[in-house]
Amino acid sequence: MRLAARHILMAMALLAPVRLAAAQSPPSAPPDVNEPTTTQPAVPASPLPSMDARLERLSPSNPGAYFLLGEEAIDEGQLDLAIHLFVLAARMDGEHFGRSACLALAEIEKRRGRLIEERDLRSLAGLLGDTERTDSPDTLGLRSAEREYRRSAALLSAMLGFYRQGDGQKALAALELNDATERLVKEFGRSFGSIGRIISFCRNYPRCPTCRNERIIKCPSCRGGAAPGQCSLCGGQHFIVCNLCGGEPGEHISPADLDAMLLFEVALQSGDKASWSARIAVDQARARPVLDLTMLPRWYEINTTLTVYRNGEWTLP
Amino acid sequence: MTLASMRLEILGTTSDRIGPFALLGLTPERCEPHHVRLALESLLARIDTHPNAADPAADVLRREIRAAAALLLDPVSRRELSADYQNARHGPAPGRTAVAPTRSGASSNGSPRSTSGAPNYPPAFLRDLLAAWVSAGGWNGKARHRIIAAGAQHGVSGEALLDAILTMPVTLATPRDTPLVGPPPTGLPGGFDAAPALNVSDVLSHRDAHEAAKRNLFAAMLAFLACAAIVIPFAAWVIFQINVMGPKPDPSLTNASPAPVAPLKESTTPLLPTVPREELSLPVSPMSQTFAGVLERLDRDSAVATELDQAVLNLFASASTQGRRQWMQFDAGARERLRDVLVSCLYRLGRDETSAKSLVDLIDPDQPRWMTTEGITGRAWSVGMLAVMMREPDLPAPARSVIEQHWHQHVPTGSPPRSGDFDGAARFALREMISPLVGTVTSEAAAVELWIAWLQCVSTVSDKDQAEALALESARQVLIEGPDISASDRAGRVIAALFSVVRWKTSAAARGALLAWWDEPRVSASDLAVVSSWIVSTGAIPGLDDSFIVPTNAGAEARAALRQKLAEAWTSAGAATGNAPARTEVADWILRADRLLADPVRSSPEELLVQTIAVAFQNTAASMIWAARPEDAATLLADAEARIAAARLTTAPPPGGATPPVGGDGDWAVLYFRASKENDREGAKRLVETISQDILGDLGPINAAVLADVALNGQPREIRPVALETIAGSYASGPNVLLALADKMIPDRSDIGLSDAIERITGVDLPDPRQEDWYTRARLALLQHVASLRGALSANASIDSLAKLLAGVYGDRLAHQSGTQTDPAEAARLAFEQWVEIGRPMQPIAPLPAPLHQILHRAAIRAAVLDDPIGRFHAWQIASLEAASYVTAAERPGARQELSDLLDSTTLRLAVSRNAMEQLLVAERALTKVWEIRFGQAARGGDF
Repeated sequence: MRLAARHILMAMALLAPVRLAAAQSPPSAPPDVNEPTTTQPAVPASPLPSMDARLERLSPSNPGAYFLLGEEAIDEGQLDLAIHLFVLAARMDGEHFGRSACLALAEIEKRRGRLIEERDLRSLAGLLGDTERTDSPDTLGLRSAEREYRRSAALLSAMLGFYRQGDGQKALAALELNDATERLVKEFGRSFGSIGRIISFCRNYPRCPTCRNERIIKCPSCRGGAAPGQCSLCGGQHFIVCNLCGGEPGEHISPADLDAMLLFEVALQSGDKASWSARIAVDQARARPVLDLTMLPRWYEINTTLTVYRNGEWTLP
Repeated sequence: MTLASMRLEILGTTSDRIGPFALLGLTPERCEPHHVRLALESLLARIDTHPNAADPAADVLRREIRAAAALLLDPVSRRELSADYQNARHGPAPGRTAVAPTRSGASSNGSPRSTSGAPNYPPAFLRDLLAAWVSAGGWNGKARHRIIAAGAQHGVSGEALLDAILTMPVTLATPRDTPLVGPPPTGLPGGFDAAPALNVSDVLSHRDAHEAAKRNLFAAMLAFLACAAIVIPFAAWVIFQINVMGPKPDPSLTNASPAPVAPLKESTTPLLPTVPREELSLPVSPMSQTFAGVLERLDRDSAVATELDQAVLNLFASASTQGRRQWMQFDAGARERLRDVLVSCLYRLGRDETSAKSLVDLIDPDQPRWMTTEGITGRAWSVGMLAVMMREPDLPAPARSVIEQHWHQHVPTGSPPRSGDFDGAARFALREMISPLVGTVTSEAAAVELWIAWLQCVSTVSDKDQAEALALESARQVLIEGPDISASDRAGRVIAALFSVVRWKTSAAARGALLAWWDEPRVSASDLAVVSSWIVSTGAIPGLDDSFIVPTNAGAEARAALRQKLAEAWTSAGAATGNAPARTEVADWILRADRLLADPVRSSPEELLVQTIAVAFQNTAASMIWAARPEDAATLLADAEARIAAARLTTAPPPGGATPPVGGDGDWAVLYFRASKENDREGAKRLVETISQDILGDLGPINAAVLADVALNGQPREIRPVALETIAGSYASGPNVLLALADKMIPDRSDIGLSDAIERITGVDLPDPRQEDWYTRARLALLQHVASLRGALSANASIDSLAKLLAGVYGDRLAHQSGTQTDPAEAARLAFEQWVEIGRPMQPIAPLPAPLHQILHRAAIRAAVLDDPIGRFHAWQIASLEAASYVTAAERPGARQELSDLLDSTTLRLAVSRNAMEQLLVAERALTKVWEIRFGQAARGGDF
């Protein structure tokens, strides 16, 4: 479904810089959180005494209790605490709770609108699954997500094409807001300037107000009525190149930006058939997510050696 | 090779006048059915391992041996033959002179020895004995085989054969009726066919004769002692061999190495029956003329048919039915022709759902009861055909839809074969059949026929490695899930059939699989007893004796000990045949690997890619060394630096775009606009047609945008094809015009004329414009073309050149690659699959990092998540690392912890890598470490 311009405003709100920044952080170069320390502030401090009491009853000998309490924390809206508990459960007994914890964490990320993290967590859950029937790329929705991603990439590319033609109205109409588009914007929003800025420009510049993107206008001097050679402006041709946009409506795009934009479109739509140089130009060879259960604490910066909750803090057992 | 030569090499004689006992090397005392089967197996195995095993002479010999076995397996004929044999041995019937029931040789005496104490064997036997010794070049394994065969041929029992060998020097030096001291014979040793002796008394005086006699006596004694010193140990060896084949082993005479458990008595170990080898392969021939005629008619009629009528449907049914039944008997050209015609029909007639369904249902009919020989071959063909049709993206949408439905019925999940690969898909289907087929071993009387049909299909669509892997996998499942092969003749025949495609002596996969069965607790000891007995008795693995046979009551400890012993014996056997990497090559490789691993990690993506490729060369060399191709490895490594340097020097070709437009941009647009507004259609059309005469190469942005707009939205519509023709004909190298065309294309609006023009401009085949993805692909083709014209795609050409080199280096690892790989992700996927094939027969008790099916599963998920070219390569690279670790841990259980640590540290290093290129390097280096471990190099820690 296409979105009207007002929906794009909502989209822009969704694609806030905070979330863009968050999207780029999780898998790459987190601090070594497994450095042995004696205490770590609880994340967050338990707001409810009853929850504190339940937390203090947890013991590493029973990892399942961490997982169950994580579910209760979700019910009580304490997502950060739930994340902490799920990560601990997954690390303490990955065989039994790894996959479930990843799925639970994926649900939390979905609630938070962090789609890349959600996809990575679902994929990790799939890796930990044992049966292809329940955890195949199909059942995990990875293939359909990829198809959707390609389609959104094509529409995003179409949007950029209309933007280059100075047709903001068509550009916004071509853009379809869905998870895949959001992922694209998150991943590559900064590839050439900012897609957000481009969307914003399109919103403010639906088309050339003078020529309505026809590029040629009736001669404003003679109104198309001059005899040949008599009008100093059109020379008797009755039409001139639009005097507002100069025949090139829209934003001026430098050759370098144009090349970057083309690379971006080609690389995204080509999927795994794109050239390596194009892909590197698009994403600067960013590190790929390492799908491994041991990465969970790093992604969430949780010290999993601190497994006992005492006096509002996670401590060593 | 002639039959006589084959006889000589296999049986140790050129004679065709041999009885069943002699042919099989048996005696009436040793001709129980299991003796017969064992002898039959042994001889057939000897023929099969002969370099000329495929010659007609070998087939003749096989038939003779089987006929002899059949006679001896039949109780009535065995009794009669035994009686004949005994008569001949103990008291020749009147008119018969043979020492054994053979039609050759003669004996003047029923006793094996003459009264003088010298052996009294027929000259033919002694000649064969001597011939065997001489032709083998002395006392060696070949001589042993030939002497046993000679004994068998002449019906000489084991004890008598020993006696003959021990007395051979005397026998050879002492022709019958010739005194030991006396005129020496001349001519051939032994003098059986010697020329008449010279009369020495005519030459020597009496004294000289006395001295000569003394010297002769002394020389004869010396010769006797020397020969005895050589013969006695050898005789003991021969006796041991006889005991292996005979019912009563004599431990006192064997020098077998001590086993951890008591050797199994052979009489308690049932043996594998035989499956004739010719049953497993079908003769291949071109298509019959009748069938070719059917295809011809189908092709012709479907080309002119406007819709699917009954006549064409009948032809299609006939073609597909015959294809399903007989495809294995067609040669490659015939199979290709059949596929082409059927696919063409789908192109022509699969335009509506009903027709498409009718046609595809004929190719892949619903067969709930496919467990028949025809069902198996048909199912494999169907899945192969579906894969071929899946490759056709331009098939009509209804046909594609039906094909995909059928495809997903066969290939629901997991790691499906890549579409388009008939053989790969058929193999996939055949692999899927293994489990159901294993069930038939218990329940179906025709199980052996089903398995043979399955093996015939496997042989048709597989190379030797692939067929072997499937056979080993099947054998494992039969051993685990099927009935006890020591009790079930059917199961034994299935196993024997599966073993027939395994190259035990040369295949690393076979070694891994067999050793894994020793580890697998679900494979019973009684099954292992039969398998090990077969291996020992057939010489499938050289150098084994009966101490390698697993006792039927062996516990885990005994099995582990025997496994270790077998692994050691097999390694040395492999080294002897040149299959194990030589120490020097490995040492050189490790030195070079250490240097590469110590190389500091660079920072720029290109530098990191170069480092990755250097390590990839190293890993490819390792695989070559492992595959006993050290020369290839040396050449590869010698060229590595030069190839990397050449790839780095690749520079971007100059942009192919047209020269920038000259003159005022927009002038033409104004003229066109005026003509259009004034409704001057002819003038507007002329302007569009003639613009390229005035402005060459490319247009300015304004003119380009207006021309593109005319091509897409011009009014009247007749002007659009004119504009498209102008663009395709004159501005195919004009980035401004083409970019404007791409950018003005409207999603969801398709146009055949536009599609044709884009195909002409870009050279890319596009799908039917009515298809959903037409817009995406058409626009992408244009954008790629524009980017290429602007030089944007080749701005960093060296990266792409290096990526291509990486694909090539990965491709060099493949044992069965066809052509040079250019797609790194695809090459890495194939490399991963190669590891999987190696690991598939292995069933380690504690698989690392996970069972194989889970490694496959993880690989599929990673490849789906990492959906860009670099990410996908990395996904298969990690999958290769896991599969290589699995294989290495299975081969070297002692290195399991080391490998586990390596995988853990690799994960951490990947997580802290700065970019994707560093991740590629980390993974490739980890693979090098796995190779080091596989080569038996102890871990030395350190960074990588």
